[in-house]
Amino acid sequence: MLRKLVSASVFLLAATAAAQQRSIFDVDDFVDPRQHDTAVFASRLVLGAANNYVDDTRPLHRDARFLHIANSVYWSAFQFDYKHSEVRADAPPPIRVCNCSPPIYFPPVPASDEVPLPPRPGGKDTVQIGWYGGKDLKLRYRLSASNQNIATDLFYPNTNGPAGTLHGHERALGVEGDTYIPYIGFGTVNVARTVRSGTADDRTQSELAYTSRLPGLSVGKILVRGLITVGGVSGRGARGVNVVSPIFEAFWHDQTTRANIHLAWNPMSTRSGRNGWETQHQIALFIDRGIVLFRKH
Amino acid sequence: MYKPIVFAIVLATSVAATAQTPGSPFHRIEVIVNGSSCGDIPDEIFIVINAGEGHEYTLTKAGKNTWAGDVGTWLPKSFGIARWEAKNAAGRVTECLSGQGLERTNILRFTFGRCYRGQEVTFTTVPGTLTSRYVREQEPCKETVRFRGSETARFVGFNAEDVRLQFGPPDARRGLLVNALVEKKKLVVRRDWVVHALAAQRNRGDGAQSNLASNAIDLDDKKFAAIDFKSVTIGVR
Repeated sequence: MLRKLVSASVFLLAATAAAQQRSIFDVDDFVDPRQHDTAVFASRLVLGAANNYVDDTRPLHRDARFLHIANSVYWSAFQFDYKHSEVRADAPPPIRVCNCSPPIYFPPVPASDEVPLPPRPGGKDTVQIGWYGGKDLKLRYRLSASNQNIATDLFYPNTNGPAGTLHGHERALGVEGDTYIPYIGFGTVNVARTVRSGTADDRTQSELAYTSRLPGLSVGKILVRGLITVGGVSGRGARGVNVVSPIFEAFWHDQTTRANIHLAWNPMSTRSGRNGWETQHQIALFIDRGIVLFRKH
Repeated sequence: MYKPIVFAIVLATSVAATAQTPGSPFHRIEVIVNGSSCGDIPDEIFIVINAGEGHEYTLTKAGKNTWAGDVGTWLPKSFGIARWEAKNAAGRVTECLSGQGLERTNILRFTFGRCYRGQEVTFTTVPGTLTSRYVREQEPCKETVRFRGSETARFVGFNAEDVRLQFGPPDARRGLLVNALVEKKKLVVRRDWVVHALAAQRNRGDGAQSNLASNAIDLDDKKFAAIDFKSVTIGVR
């Protein structure tokens, strides 16, 4: 009964809200409930860098470094997560603003029919609650909420004097659900809504995407897999499918240090009303190391 | 030298394996084996029927291509697999089929038409005191055998069934897929390779989405350390 209530609640929320497409460094945290019969706590640190960093289908057009901490509790068929990430990149050009109303910012932000820029790299907090369903085939349904505070320093055009600071944020709410279709395989449906406000580039986007999870391969001790995300994202002047984002990942678990090394290549294509299809190649190299605690028999 | 004796094993996976209940109307089992892949027909048949995790019974030849026997308990309508020893091979195993109930005569009849080559597989764990299980799966048939130290599974048809090894305290885990190890001829498997093999299974999408979950890998690693698992040797012939 409880499971039915939870699954019904998750699907109701899915109808009205939304999961942001996860960052390339947000490592998989799917733990099949059949793998544990007591509660499990896991804490994980991820460190790395990305070339042509992309944040939620929005290319930054710069490289970035990142630190990510993920804390998860697996209990029965439930999973609770708190994640914090810090992304850093070379400073963008300073934003200048005229002393006028409404304010005009320079350099100009992408137009409403272009792919938006992501928020300035910074810290982001995410909480998630997930539930694993299914008997022989385990499927996870997860609700995510994230917040990133964004402080934007403004300068006057000619004097370079400070013109104040904008204190805004970007918030996202999303739901994702695994699917299994015979002969096609596993996939994940994401629905998300992201709202950025109080910045020089306020934007809103809704996204509906399907990520196909192709069966991975092992080459010696290296595990290789591919994900293909296809979806539609609003707020870029192009209706229908406007994001095609495959990720090819190589993964190596070092038994001695118990660290995991990831190399991921993400040739992401996005379509906007003004510029049509554009492709950005994101390449990330990162390492994760965690601790896992559980009660022994 | 070929003995005109074939061992046939029927594994019946029952929903409710209790005896003498209204849902368990069958007291006699008949197995009919047809098909060119199934080899010679034996004069005498030994049958093993599994209810729940396994009970063995014997059937004897009752006619052309037919073996029958009263199993001494009441059985529900079940799925089953037949296995037997074969000439010039370690054995044969059939596909998993539902028995046809002949309620008036209390006979549960299985008619198998497709057979696969079976092999004898021995598992030996270090430490030898470790409680383990092997699970043979050919949907919807499933057979679990517990053992400590060493055990042999007979007539394993790797082309038809999945064999998994589970180590340590029982729970509902899926286990290490032996088929992939046999295919790779990786027959001595230490803890670090078991952890890798389980990660590779998850990466292939074994029972869930394909994933490279670091937490799952660390959890396996810690659990094997907790039970002091060192290695398993798999012998196939």
